[in-house]
Amino acid sequence: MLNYLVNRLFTSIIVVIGVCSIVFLLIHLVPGDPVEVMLGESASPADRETLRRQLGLDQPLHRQWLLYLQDVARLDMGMSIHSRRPVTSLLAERLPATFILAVASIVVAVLIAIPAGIMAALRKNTLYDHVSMTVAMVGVAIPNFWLGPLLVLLFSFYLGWFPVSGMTGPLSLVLPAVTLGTALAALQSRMIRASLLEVLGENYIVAARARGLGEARVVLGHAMRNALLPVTTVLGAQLGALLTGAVVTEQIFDWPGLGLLTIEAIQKRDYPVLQGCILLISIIYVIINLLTDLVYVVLDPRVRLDNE
Amino acid sequence: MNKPVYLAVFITALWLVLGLMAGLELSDPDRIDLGRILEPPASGSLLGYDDLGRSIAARLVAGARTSLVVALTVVMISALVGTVVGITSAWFGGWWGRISVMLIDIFMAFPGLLLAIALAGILGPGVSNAIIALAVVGWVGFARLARAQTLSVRERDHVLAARAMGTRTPVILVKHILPLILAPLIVQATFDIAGAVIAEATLSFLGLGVQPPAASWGSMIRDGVRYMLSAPHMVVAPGAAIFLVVLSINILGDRLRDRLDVRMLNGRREPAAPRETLA
Repeated sequence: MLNYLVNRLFTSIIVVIGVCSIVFLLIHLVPGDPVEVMLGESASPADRETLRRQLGLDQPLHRQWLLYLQDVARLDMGMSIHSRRPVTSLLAERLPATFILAVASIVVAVLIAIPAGIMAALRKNTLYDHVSMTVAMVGVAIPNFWLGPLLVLLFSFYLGWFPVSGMTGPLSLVLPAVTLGTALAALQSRMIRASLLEVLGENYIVAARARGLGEARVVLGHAMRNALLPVTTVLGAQLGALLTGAVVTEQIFDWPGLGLLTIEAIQKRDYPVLQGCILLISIIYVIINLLTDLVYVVLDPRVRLDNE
Repeated sequence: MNKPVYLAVFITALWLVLGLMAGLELSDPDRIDLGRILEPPASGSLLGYDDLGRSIAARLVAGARTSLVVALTVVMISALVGTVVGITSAWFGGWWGRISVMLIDIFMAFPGLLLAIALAGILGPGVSNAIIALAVVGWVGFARLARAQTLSVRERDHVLAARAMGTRTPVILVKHILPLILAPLIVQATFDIAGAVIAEATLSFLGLGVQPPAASWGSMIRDGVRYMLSAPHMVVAPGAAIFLVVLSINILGDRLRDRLDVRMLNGRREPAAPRETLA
């Protein structure tokens, strides 16, 4: 168990260093001179030199790399070219909005997926099952940059229930969260149905029923506990897509989070900010995956045995 | 085969045909008709006109070509690179095995399309940069899968026999390993085509894909959002196109997976559908 934890933690650290290195290399992929691209052609040679030195671009590549890793370890991601503020404080400013959006869309997804998945599994091969699984299939295929505008058209323009965009209170969270949560709900409900069906055939379910337990006790108390295991593990991978989806969703709804900051940084060619966004989102993703694995180990004793 | 599968085959075939046909310029997607700006669908103009007075039907067909070219190129490059990396990683092991596993882990650590968005943003917009950005992200799935599959068949008797007979390594890999691991790779490629269609549209929606006046379903939605209230048909048509193509390819992928009896795709971390479909 301890071995597994240490091993997993060690791999994650290497992965984080690798992620930092790739993010570091991004700025060197800018076609032409990154300093010129950022400042524009009208910048004075002195300004260019200052920025070049500030970004460390006058140093040899391996030294730049080491400096970058050092800076990131000290939580120093440089200065925004555009707003002249530290990237770290920009990120800190935007992180809460993305966090709220992500949590809300997971809540939306779970609220839809768990009941829908359970009902579909319990009524396998009925009309309800077919309809809800078709809806799920459709939900996965709908791109959120299409769903978002359609929701705005219906609920904001026609019905006037929710604000069109911006972060102006609880109501403004509804449409972005539904936009981002739909695909997740669709995937999750399919997963829950499949894994619940597998579990419902087990002997201990038959035993629970034989003991005369009510259907609700059997399903929620006995079956769901195990059925949720595989669902937990895929959640990690799905959260990655959720974080990317947030970039698009924030763009649609003008939601002031990390995703919007990423796109703004691309448009303004503010590369230190772009690097900071990608790095932060990726590291969050690595940590989530690490936690998912740990939760899995805690939930499933068999994994612990396998690794010892 | 049941009805949804027929429909999926039909829609996918239609996408392929329209995508290839767009080059023949049956109707000009760039022709501007100032009298018909934002004209809604009516008899004679099936899907209406956009904010510049261009036929949406014609642009939809041109967009089919963009998504087809990008999706197929990205998946071909990703599959080729990923499979070569995966097979050689599992076969040779050693330092190459360690480095490739580390690379796979690192690239898997970037969530979904995020790295592609950053790359496309840095390299600048355009079809070829979009393809590069998506392929840089896309090879990893194939590499992981090919590696895991190769590890599981490496010790089979016929492989051992081939080695004992002194068969050259490349021949073993291509003739004795590849055929055994091809089925899951094909299934993965099918799902990845659907993922690449969404990915291309996502990049174009964010303004990082094809540049105007070239048409992409993603950039059509981007343009249309500004006229949501007065001309919703600008958004509805391209979105429906993406949705139908992705849904159809996913249905075909599911079908293919059942046919080829591929149980688990990528071990436990991969959901049943491809990761990118959420983006």
